Amino acid sequence: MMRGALLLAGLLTLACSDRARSNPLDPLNPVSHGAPTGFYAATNRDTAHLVWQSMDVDGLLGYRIHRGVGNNPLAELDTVEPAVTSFMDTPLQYDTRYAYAVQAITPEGEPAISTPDTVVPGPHNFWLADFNRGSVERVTYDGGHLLGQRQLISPEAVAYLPQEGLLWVADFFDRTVLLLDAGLRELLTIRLPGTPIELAADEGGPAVYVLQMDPDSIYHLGTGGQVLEAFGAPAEVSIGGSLAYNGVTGALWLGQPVTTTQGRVYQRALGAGGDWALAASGLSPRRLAADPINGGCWVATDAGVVKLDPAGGRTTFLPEMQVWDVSVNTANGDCYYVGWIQAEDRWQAGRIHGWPDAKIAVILDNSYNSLVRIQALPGPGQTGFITSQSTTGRILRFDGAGQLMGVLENYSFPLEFALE
Amino acid sequence: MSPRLALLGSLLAVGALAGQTADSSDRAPLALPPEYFPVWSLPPGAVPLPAADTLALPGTDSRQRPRLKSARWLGVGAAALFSVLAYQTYQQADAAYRAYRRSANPTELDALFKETKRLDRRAGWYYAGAEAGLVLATVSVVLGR
Repeated sequence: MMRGALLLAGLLTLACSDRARSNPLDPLNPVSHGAPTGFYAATNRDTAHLVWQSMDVDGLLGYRIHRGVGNNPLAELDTVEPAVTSFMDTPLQYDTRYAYAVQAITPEGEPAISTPDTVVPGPHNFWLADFNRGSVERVTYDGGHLLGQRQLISPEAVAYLPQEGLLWVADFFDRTVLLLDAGLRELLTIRLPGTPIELAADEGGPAVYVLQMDPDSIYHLGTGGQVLEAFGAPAEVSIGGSLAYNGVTGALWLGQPVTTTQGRVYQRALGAGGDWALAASGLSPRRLAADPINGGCWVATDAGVVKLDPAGGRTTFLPEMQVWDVSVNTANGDCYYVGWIQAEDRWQAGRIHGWPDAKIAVILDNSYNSLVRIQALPGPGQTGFITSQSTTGRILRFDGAGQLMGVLENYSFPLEFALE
Repeated sequence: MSPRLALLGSLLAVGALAGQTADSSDRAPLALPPEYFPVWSLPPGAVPLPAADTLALPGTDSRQRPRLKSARWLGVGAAALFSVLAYQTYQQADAAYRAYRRSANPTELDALFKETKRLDRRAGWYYAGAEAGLVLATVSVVLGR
C-alpha cells in the first residue's frame, strides 16, 4: 500500500510543470502583474524624470504615460515608442502633487497600469552624507526619491555651493575633501594633513572651510584645489567639533564640546587678519548654525537652544531640552531644532521665530522620536524641513504645515545634510 | 502440537537430564519403536519428483520463460513509445511557452499558459509511462536469468 502511494506520488511529481508566468504583460505574473516594472519618478526643480524597465515581448506598440495633478485621477499624458524606457515632464508647478504611472500599449487588450509614483517638485534638493554606509546621496525636494548616489569610504560632512552647483564632501578615514558636481562626478580630490570632521560652505569664495583634527586646524579651500588660507584652531579639536560660516557678516564660528555640560564656542572675524575670540563658555555645543539674517549663531546644546548674538549677548530657549541639531531658514532667520525633553521623555521638532522677540512654535510634538538631525528650507513663514530618525534609520520630509511628505529608509547615524 | 512430537520432545528432555547425571560412556543407546516416528507418504496417483527438482526456485520453470520474454519486449516497447511521445509533447509545450513568453496580446496569455501546463502534464505522464516500461523490462530480464 505504502509502496503504491509512493509510486503514485512520484508519477504525479513527474507530471508537474514548473514553468512560471513570466510574460510581463500577464496580469497573473507575480512580479509585474501585467504592468511595466521598475517604474520610478523623481523631480529635479520643475522637471519630473520617469524611468521603467522595458518589456521584452513581440509586437509591443509603445508605452502610455499617465499623470494625475493634485487630487485629480490619472489621465493620459503622452505615448512613447517601445524602445523608449524614460520620460521627462516639464515644466511643473512647485509644491504641487503629481502622480505618474506607465502602461504598455499592445495590439489587443488593455494591459495593467503600473502602481503610481507620487512626486512633489520644488526649488531645492537635499544632499546627505551617511558615514556608516559610506554613501553620499542626492535626495529630491519631496524627500521620497533619490536623484543620485555615490559610494565613498567615510563621508563625514557635506557642503554645497549653489551658484556653481558643486558639492564638497569630507572623507574622514581617507583624509580628503572631494569636490563633486551635481551628477556626483569627482572634479577634485584634496588630501589633507589632518582628519576632516566638518565643512562650512563659503558661497562668496567660492570655497569651503574644513575643520580638521590632528593637526587641529582650519583650511580654506578654493574650487581650484588651492589652499586660500590655513590657520590653527583656538582649542583642541575633537570628533564632536562643529563649524558654521556666516557669509553676510564674514564670521566663522567653531564649537568645541569638552564634556556633556561644558564646552566653548569661538568666533573669528575673517578678512581683516582677525583672531579667534571666545563667544561663549559653560555650554556644550553639539551643533552650530550661523544666522545670515540677524547675525550671530544658533547653538544646539544639552540645555536648550542658545542664540549668540554678534554683540556678545546670549539667549537660551528650551533649557529643559537636549537639543540635537539646529538649522536656520536663510530667508528669514528662523531657527529650526530637534531635541528631547528628558523629564517628559518627549521628542520635539519646532522653530524659534520672530527674533529678537522670539517665539517658539512646536511643529512635531512626540509624534516621531529620536530625531537627531534637521535641515530647514529657506522661505517665508514656516517652511518645510528634512530630518533623520536614528532608531528607524529613516529620513523624513515634512512640509511647512508639519505634514509628512516623503520617507526614505535604510540609513544609519551619523547623517549629515546640506541644502541644494 | 501433535502428540507424537510432544512425546519426542519429552523423550529428548529426559535424555538430556540423564546425560547430566550419568557419564556418557556408560549410557545405553536410545532405542525407540518405529511407531514414534512420522510417516511420509504421497497421495494416491502422485509421481515423486527427482531430488534435484525439489530445490529449484518456483517460477523458473522453462514453461514460464516465454511469458517473461513477452514482458521484456513489452517493457522495451512501452519505454521506447512513451519516450518518443514524451519528447514530442515536451517540444510542443516548449513551443507553447515560447509563444506565451513573446506574446504582446494580454487576452491570449492565459490560454497560452494553460496550454503549456496541459502539454507539460501530458509529457510528464508519458515520461512516467516510459519509466514504467523500463522497470518492467529490467525486472523481466532479472527474473529471466
